Amino acid sequence: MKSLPTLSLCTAFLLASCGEDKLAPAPSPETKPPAAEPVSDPAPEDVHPTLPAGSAAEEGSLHDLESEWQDQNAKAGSLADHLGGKIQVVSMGYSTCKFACPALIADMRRIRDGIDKTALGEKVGFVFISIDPDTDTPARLKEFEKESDFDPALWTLLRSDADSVLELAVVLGMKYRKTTVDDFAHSNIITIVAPDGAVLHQQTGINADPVKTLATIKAQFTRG
Amino acid sequence: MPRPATIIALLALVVPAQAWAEDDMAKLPAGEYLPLYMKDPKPRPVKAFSIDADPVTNADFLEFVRANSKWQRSKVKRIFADKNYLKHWAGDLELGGGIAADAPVTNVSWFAARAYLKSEGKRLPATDEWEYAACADETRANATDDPKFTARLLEWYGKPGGGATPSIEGAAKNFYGARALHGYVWEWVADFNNSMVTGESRGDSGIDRKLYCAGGALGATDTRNYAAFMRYAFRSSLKGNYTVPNLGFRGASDVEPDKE
Repeated sequence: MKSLPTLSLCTAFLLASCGEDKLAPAPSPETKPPAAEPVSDPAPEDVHPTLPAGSAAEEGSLHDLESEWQDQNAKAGSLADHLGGKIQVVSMGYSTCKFACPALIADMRRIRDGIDKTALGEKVGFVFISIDPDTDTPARLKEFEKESDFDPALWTLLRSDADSVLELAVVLGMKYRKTTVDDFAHSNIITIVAPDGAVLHQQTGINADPVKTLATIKAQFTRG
Repeated sequence: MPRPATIIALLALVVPAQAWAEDDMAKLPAGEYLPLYMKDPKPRPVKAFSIDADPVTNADFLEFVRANSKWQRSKVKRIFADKNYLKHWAGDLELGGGIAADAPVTNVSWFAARAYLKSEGKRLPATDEWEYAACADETRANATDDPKFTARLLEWYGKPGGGATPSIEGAAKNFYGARALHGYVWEWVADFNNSMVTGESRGDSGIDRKLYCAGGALGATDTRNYAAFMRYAFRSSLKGNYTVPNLGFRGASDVEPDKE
């Protein structure tokens, strides 16, 4: 029988949020896949959980998404407008999160600290994308920028409508679910995006060692 | 005796009704359902909505890609559909032998399904909506308490697949008028990525608690409904650009209050 190869991949998603941890007992000794080749095999050359590596033109990139996003200054534009032209260090979360997102942002800062200062801002940017469009208005993101002491030259905080957020989350292979009125469970993924929108690398989990992430970014510098 | 003008007026009424019937949607009233294997199951409210009576077919999808070339097999970007996209078709614009035009289309990604439905002014159903509609059998809105119903589903899930997806001609309507929610293909839902089941029970129980808090609503307990568990596990194994030989989709739309 063909197994579900991707199920094991899912254990790599480290989910975190701010609630109480009650883990349910195991549902069954082994999860059997549905009949008839339920999931296509991921190609062995897949380098990260979601997207095929390759040129943005053939494979597609974040710049192919047609959604519109507002930043913390209420400037509207596509992802290509907001992200294009720089290597971007991207994560998704929500500004009112007390546990996982601050840790995720700490991880992004750790990546920042590993990059030559002359490249910061000019060649590399940092993007935090909200999964909570109801709360995270541009005004709220502006507050969040101040609260978190984000350097405006370095950080872009984005929000859009719920459907566009869902689409981007799916592109990035990110799982999330609203668990209570103001709380989400979500996977923690930091994605490195090339200036042309291609996804280069993904780092999963919090407090992860960014050595591969930094190597990915630095390899882009030498590429010009 | 109706005058000719009246007859024409009547015909005018009949034609749109006929067109509507071809785009038949089952209407579901607002209600709630119990997600069947969630830890601490609480009924989840579902607003009134409509769902396509039948899954989208090969013929429907062919018409869509004809009009939207970027969704043709040779043109689609990998970020939106993997290399097996529409692989059962003979080419970009031909189904080929052995493919029933009126069979549910499969080997379509979540992005492709969304694009198709957008062009129809519809959307994918949410997990809650799909599950709510799929609680029904032919005669009852909720058949999930009946072990025979679950047994039927498991029988289908256990059947080896393979071969072309058959036409759903002859499939019975469920309580709401939707056909083939079970027994033919699995179907995409809009928020498939909110299903955080790892699908691997040892993974669920042994996961690093430092990194996994708020597991409250995310695990599975009720082993009675293995069928529902399998749907959730399957969804959690998907990614948006995956295409699968037995995974199709159907549309949904909100029911505007004034049309109730």
